[in-house]
Amino acid sequence: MNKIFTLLLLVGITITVNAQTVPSAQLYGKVDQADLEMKSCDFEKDANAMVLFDKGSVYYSNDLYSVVEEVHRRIKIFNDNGKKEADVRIEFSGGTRYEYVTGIQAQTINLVDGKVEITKLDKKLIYTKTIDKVSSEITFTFPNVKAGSIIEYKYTLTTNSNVHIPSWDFQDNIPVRYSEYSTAIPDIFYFRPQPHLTMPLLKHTHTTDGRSLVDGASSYPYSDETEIRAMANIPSLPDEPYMSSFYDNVQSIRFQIVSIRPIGGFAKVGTDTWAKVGGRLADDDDFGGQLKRKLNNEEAIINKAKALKTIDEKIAYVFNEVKTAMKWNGVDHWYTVDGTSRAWENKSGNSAEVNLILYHLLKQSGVNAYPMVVSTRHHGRLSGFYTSTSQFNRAVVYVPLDTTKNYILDATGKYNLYNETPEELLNSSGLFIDKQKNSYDMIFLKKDLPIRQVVLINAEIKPGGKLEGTADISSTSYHKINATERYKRDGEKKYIEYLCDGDNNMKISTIKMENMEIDTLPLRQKLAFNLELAGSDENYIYLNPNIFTSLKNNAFLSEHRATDIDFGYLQNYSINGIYKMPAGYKTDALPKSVTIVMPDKSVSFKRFVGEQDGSIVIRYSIIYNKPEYSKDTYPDFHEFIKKMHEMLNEQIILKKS
Amino acid sequence: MCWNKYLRGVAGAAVLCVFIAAKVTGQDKDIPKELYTASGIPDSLKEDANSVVRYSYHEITIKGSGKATVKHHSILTILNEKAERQAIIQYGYNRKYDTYSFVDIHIYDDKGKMIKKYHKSDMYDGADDGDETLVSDERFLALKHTIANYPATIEIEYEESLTSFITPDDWDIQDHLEQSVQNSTYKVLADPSVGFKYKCKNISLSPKKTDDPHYEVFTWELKNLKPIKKEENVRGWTVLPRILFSTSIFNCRGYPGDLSTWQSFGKWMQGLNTDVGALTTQRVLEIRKMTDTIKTDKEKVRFLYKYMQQSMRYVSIQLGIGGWKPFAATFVDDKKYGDCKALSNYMRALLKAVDINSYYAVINAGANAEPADFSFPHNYFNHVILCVPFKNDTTWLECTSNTQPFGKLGSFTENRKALIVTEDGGKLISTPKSTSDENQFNSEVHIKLEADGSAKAKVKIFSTGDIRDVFVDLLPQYKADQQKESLLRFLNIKQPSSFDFQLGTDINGTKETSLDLDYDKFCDVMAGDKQFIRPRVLSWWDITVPITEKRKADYYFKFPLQESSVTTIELPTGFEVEAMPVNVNLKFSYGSYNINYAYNAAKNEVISTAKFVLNNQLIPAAKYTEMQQYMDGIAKAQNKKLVIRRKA
Repeated sequence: MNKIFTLLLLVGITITVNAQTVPSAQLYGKVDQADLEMKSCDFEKDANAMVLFDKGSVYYSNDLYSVVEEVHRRIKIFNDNGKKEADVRIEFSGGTRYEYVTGIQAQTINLVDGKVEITKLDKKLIYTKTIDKVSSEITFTFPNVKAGSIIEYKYTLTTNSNVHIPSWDFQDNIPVRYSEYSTAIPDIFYFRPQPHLTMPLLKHTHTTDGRSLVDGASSYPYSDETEIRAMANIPSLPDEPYMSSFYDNVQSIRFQIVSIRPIGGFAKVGTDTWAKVGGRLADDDDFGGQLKRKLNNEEAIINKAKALKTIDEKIAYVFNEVKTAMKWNGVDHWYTVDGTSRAWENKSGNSAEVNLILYHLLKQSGVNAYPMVVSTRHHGRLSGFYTSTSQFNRAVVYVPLDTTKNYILDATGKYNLYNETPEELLNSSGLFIDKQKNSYDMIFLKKDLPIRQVVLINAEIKPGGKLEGTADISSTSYHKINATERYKRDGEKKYIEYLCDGDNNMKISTIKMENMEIDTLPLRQKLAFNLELAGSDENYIYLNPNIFTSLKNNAFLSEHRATDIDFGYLQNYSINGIYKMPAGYKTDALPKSVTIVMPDKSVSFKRFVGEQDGSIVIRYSIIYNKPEYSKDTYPDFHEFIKKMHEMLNEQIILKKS
Repeated sequence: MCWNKYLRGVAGAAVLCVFIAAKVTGQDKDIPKELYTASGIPDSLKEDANSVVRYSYHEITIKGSGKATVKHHSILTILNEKAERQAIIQYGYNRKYDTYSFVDIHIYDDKGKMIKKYHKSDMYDGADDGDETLVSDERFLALKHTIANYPATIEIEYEESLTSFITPDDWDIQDHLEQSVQNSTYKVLADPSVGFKYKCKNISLSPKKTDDPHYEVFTWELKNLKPIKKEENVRGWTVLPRILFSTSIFNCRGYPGDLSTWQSFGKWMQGLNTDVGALTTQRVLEIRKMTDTIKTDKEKVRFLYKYMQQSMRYVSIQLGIGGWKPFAATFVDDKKYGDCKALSNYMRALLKAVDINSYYAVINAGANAEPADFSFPHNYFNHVILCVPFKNDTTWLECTSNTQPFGKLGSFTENRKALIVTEDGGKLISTPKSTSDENQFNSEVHIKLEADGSAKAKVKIFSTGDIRDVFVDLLPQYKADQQKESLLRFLNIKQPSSFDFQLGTDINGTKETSLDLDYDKFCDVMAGDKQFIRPRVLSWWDITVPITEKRKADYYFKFPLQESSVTTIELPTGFEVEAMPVNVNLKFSYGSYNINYAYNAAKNEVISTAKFVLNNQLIPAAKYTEMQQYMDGIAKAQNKKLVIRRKA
């Protein structure tokens, strides 16, 4: 394959004048006139640069000990802002020679007065750096780059392992006209491909070629199974608010080794069911092996927990002990590094260490708990068919209560609650390990109840435009966790500043936080405030009742959306205000009582306004009925949220009589 | 040394490489026990402190030019989570010129009991390039200790050996705000031949001089230094106590130099640049040909600057004599890229080709960054620009930007000292300071209101100076959707129903941008026959500052600026004004704000004209409260409503 490739390269630079109709990859140096003259990406007009093609070819070395990936990438730069694509970084695991990069070629192709001008990258200007013990990086930058340039480069990445096929992203942060990935895998190795594709493939072919492995005098026949997958016109993947993760959204394919056909003394490896993965974790020294390890002075905690009556009390107590004693070092793994005993001694550890300690203490205290491995939101949603441990990046504790209720405990967050599944684990799955019963199963982690925030305001409007009163904010779940964290981390003074939201007209004279330490009750914040109603003038008083809420700014200003919105959970907000009117004023304009609902009823906003005995009563209620909103319904969602924010900002207007 | 790119955009908080070179050494083995326990901290040092330097002994022996050894021994108590990051220990090094023979780190609990030990081999050894820099040969050692319980105490000992430096690292007496110092000693042993000097900043502290057969010995001692409170928008260099060090002779990567005067330091740079400053003869001829019809030298410079901006690309590659020697002009000419040194040197070569003299100028870049101190030659610098010395008209060129107007520096390098490299060596001269009329945001707005509460608005924006950067540098990097979203957020525009915009012409440093906004509902509230209206579409200036009892440090804005707007509000047919916002005139020591509303009955229009001026980016602490009240006053004025009603 290598030879064929070089041979074809000798053909050299030719220009095809006809524009391509179906996108494809081209040979190094062979460039279309149309591409050189192209001014913008036809399916993404506002792109500063685009990938014309990205082509990867993977095959095995002759001895079948290593995997070779040849990459050829060509980029069109439309304007000055696209020039940063000319700085290239190729990262690889070079520290242990596990991977190495060879055969780098790069050139810039410009059209100068109708003629093609090629500037090759000087090999001396390719820099290889040792990032650290494991990673290395090759960097270079293209010469002679201008708006309109085409740059292309190729290299070969060799991995010294025959059970790892590199993943391929068809999508990028700039649009990609054509992306092709070819894998030639001997039928000795069976990989299960894990396509993560929502766009159609332009091409998907499969061919088989007979080969043989020569080992001294013996020769073993095998076949190369070649699959080519290609995709065209792939839009860029932007970073959007409330997108689940880049990993969940990128058009990509990953490969998992499942088995090796034993010829010539190869051993079978790999796992193919979650139960088998679970079994392996149970036997792993850095997971299952840690579960029973004794912790120094654990008896005190265990005895105290045992003396408590209910399961909830036991869990609450042990959870709190571990949360207080252990500081998470910020590292996420499903396995332990130092081990639980040492982590316990150091009072800090990675997420597996912290939570396996929690598991151990709960188990010893008589709680029916199981260790569980999970994937955080950032790491990506678990794919059920891809039975690989690489999908996990954290260990937590699973406590089933009855057929419908369970706790997912994670003591890495100092402000986590024992009865709330951490936000970053929602809507993915966890694999729990019950070694005793030899039972290993996947549980979908979700939150059924909406998270709530209720604001009650009771205030008096003073003549001249001042508001004086009290507020009572009740928050459950993640609202509670976030508020508690902010209050404790920043201190009361800073917290009050945060509530005032940079508005010097707002003064909070007292604040009382209740139930911060009681996981089963909502957080109550009771505060006394006065607010100068700054818009007011001689005749009018303007009051915006949207105070002490997190609903001031609209996160969805963008007109289009490339990924689904994933809040993770259902949400209810309610704001209730009673405002006593000053003598000598009467209402001039009141917001109307109104209800708006998304066409599919997935979000609703209600406003009730009334006037009674010299007071104005205003109530808002916002209900998000779904944790996720498809990008397909974004136009409706965008419009709904816009309207809702308009209504949230409508003022009560009083006039001097 | 780290050279930085000209950072673009308003958000360009310069990420200058901070070489936290805490280099110091341990000798005193008889450290009292109470310096390890939390209870040994006097109450006066705990107040407003997040960490306390319990003990620090740092000794540097300067054996010759560019040659030194360092011994460091320190004990730091971290009191709370706010100083958590101080448990990340990080030292920049270089495999050839700056090495650490050992680093020992011990962690103690509040009682002073040792709970953990780390060594150099436990530290992460990484390449120090970051996202900005493509290549350099700088590395760092780092260790992150996770603190389980506060207070925690960290003891560090290390020895470092240097064979190349221009100036020894400064002594940062307090590394951080809200850090107090219980005991700190800094000792310098300097070979008399190197000409050791020092300079105090934000502190007055004299060393004890002692006799030694081989060295001049200086010892500074300090006890019980109270913490400095954190305030918003403070520049660290204006408040943190430091002592700067310098030697007359130095050696950087085998290139000896003399830092006794600015002139001699400039000579050294001139030496590095001698063999890289010329273009090929053929190119010189081409460039002459390109400019031979241009009459004045100034116009030639303008032409060639534009030529450079259009053909070159900034790439951060920090190699060559510790990042001091530029790539050759011929290299840049050939490859069409370079870093700040290479591009400035190239620009100089272009000018030389047409016999115009210019000076390579090193500077400390970043908005309101510390200016070089004339009285104390030292290596303050991290960036290079170019100075063209026309008679009575010195012109400065920022060569890393493709968009900067000719002869304008902007907040990145203005209003400080640059060391220019002349035929006679270095000279420290001032860069110009921009005035409020060089950074303008002007808008013309026409709003047509309708009886149903909807409206159409047409907006034209004219921006100059640092404000223009948003429109010429920042926005064009974004996709269309993100550009729109950013415009709404930056300019405090109410979300429209539909929205078009055009990044328009950019002539003589004035960028025009136009917006077309459609609103289904523009008024805040509609009730009966009335509409309550926020009588503006956008504003650049929309900040207030927190109320503070006693401001201690000066407050810094990025640059002085002015905003002016003319807004015409066309009333719906059959409507009249019920109430107009009052006119407001506000003044404070460094600026003014006024807004006037007028009603044109013939056209049934309300016209508002507003002007905001901030004359100075530096507001002295004593004027803080005046500024705070003034800004609140502006916010209030901008909040007033226009009320219109249907004619009876």
